[in-house]
Amino acid sequence: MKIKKENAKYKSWLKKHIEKKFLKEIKKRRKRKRRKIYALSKKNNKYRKGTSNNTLKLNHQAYAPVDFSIIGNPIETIDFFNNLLYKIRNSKDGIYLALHMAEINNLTIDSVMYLLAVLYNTRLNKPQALEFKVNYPKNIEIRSLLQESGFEKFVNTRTRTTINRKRKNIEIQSGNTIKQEVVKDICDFVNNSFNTSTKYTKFLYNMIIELMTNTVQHAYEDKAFMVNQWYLFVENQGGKIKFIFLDTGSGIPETITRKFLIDILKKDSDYIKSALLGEFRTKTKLTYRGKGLPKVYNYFDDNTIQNLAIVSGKGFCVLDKKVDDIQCKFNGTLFYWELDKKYINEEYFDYDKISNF
Amino acid sequence: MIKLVISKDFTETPGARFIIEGSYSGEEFRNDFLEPKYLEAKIKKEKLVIDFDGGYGYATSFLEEAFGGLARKYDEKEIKEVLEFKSDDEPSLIFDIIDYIKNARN
Repeated sequence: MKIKKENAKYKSWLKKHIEKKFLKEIKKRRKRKRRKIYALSKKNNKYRKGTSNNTLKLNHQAYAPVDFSIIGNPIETIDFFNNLLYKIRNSKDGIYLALHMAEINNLTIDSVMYLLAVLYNTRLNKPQALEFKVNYPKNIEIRSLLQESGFEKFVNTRTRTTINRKRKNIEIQSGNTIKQEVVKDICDFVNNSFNTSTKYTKFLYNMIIELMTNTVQHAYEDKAFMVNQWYLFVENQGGKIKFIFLDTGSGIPETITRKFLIDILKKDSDYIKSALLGEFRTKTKLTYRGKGLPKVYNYFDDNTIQNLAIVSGKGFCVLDKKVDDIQCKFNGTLFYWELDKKYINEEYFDYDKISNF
Repeated sequence: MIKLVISKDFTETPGARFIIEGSYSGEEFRNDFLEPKYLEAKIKKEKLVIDFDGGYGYATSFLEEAFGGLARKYDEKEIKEVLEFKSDDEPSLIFDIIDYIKNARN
């Protein structure tokens, strides 16, 4: 036996035998892994049902409301997001969340933006814990709106579709810093759409930079789940350009200074109005600060922008129609406004020239 | 007369208030351009003309930090004597700047 072990032929045979066994084992493992991945993509398989502790479990299902719009259907949509965030926050490792959007028959980009913010923050806070499976809307128009918004750019999808662009829009942009190049592109988009020059979009540049600044200024505040980020979407619909700006940071009612006794009975919508009117509410307590939101309100007041709507905390303000509180709390701030081509011309921008002090 | 054309000398796309918030801020403009030019004009006893035309626009916080910031450091009357503004694209901007200078220390 000793002679055999020291034999050179035996040694080389043994080496080959071990290598062969090792390769066979690797092949077996790979095959097992392939089977598991295939099984996960099929319905009613043992992995999906969660028979093993090491596999993903379908623990949560979330059904988007039929009217999936924060501005149009605030209570149901915000409630859906709050429930979704609650499920995500309290989920354990290896959870599989099915997000059903198939039945949606009205979709606005504000809810798509917030959904992207939820997905982004989930990846950030629970990278290993949770996986999403999204069911796309059955309605072809709504599905194409979702695709043209740039939604797929943010989510990992196996079936990325080639988009036949019907809409004139700028895909959803996002960031946590002030991005002048994005604002510049938006101004160019407006000027190309309306056939105007940069002179007519200077107010828009100011407005968007100010909204981005608000997101950045509160970026380091301690928040439970959602990090501060802005999302921006612009769409040209005929003679009107629609803007949606979402800030996932602390809402306006949380970031302003509350006055003791005077503010006891005030609602979130009152705080929003107060911030827009430039009443001394800045957290810095410096009177020369906090001029951004009053400027936005001025643009609405002199009809440079139209249909301004703001949702923040419990405050729901469609400024020329309804200003009140809603039952559920929106975590962040949503701005919606429109630009009408008929107000972007020389007649409305014909100021008297001013010399000096 | 000393001239400062923001869109050519500084940038076409100004940012927000502070350097910490991103590039081309009001603070950066005041430190690197406005204040040195203001002091130069003051020494030479000349006017400093600031041209706001061209470019994409100006954020409220940019203007307040640049001009209000200057008024927090130097005398308001002297600033009014030295500075002159030109904004054909957006004349209302001049009203705003005057307001920022007046209320800088409030």
